[in-house]
Amino acid sequence: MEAPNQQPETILVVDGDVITRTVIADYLRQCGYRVIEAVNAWEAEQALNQEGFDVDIILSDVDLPGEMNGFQLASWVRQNMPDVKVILSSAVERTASAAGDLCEEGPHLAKPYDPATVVDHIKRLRGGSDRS
Amino acid sequence: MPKISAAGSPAADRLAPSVLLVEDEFLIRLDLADAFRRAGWTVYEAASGEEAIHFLRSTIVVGLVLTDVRMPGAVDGTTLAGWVRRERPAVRVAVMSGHYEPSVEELSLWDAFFTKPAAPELLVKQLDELVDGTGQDAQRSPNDGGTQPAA
Repeated sequence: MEAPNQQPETILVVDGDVITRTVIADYLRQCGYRVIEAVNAWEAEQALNQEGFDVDIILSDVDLPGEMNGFQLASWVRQNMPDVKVILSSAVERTASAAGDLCEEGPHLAKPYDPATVVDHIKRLRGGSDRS
Repeated sequence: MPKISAAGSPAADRLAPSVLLVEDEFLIRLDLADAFRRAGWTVYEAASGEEAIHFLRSTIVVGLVLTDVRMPGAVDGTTLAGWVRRERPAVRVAVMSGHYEPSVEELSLWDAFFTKPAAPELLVKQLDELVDGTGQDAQRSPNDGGTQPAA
């Protein structure tokens, strides 16, 4: 098998929910992507402006904590970095589905499991987080 | 091969050590996370004390919490470290700060304290040695500790 001659694509996952962000980022890493996690649009902008980070795709929640929401972030990216693909999502099911699509499109590995499993996993973890 | 979750798994089956990295400064968090991942750790990232507690209340198992002290929000690093000690006693706690002078009592409660800035690779190496000291890190089930009273 030929060794891949290109760097893995980099996905910036932007989500204010630590559990969703963590699970989605792990899922995408298992697919072979390099993943950067950002909590809000301000962190996302730092990643996008950082030399060497070379973000190819942004997977962002619409509702982000802070002054800028996902739509505003997408607008900023389209104006300033038109080559970067932006995927916006407003629900965990959509986020997981988009991650599943990225894994199928990705040049590296097959998706590790079905996006529905990702959603179940996130919901279970959130359920666990409600106990105190 | 069946997964063995209890302590005492054969060394050959030892899982990667895991860390919850709690740091509000994005680029520092990224640098540290990269260093841990390059060293084979499973890394989870939180940007505040509140996020960290939310994460630790989930069923995700983590062996070590490495936290900055000064962070925005109601839960700073020392508060978080205290919470982990009380609520998740099986999880190791390491604290890092560029300005904070920990008390003797705090130092006795924490597993490690680092002065920032610290070279990420060096910090990871020291924490590698900390978790390798017993080889038990990956087998711990810290969330089990949630129902136990703090010692």
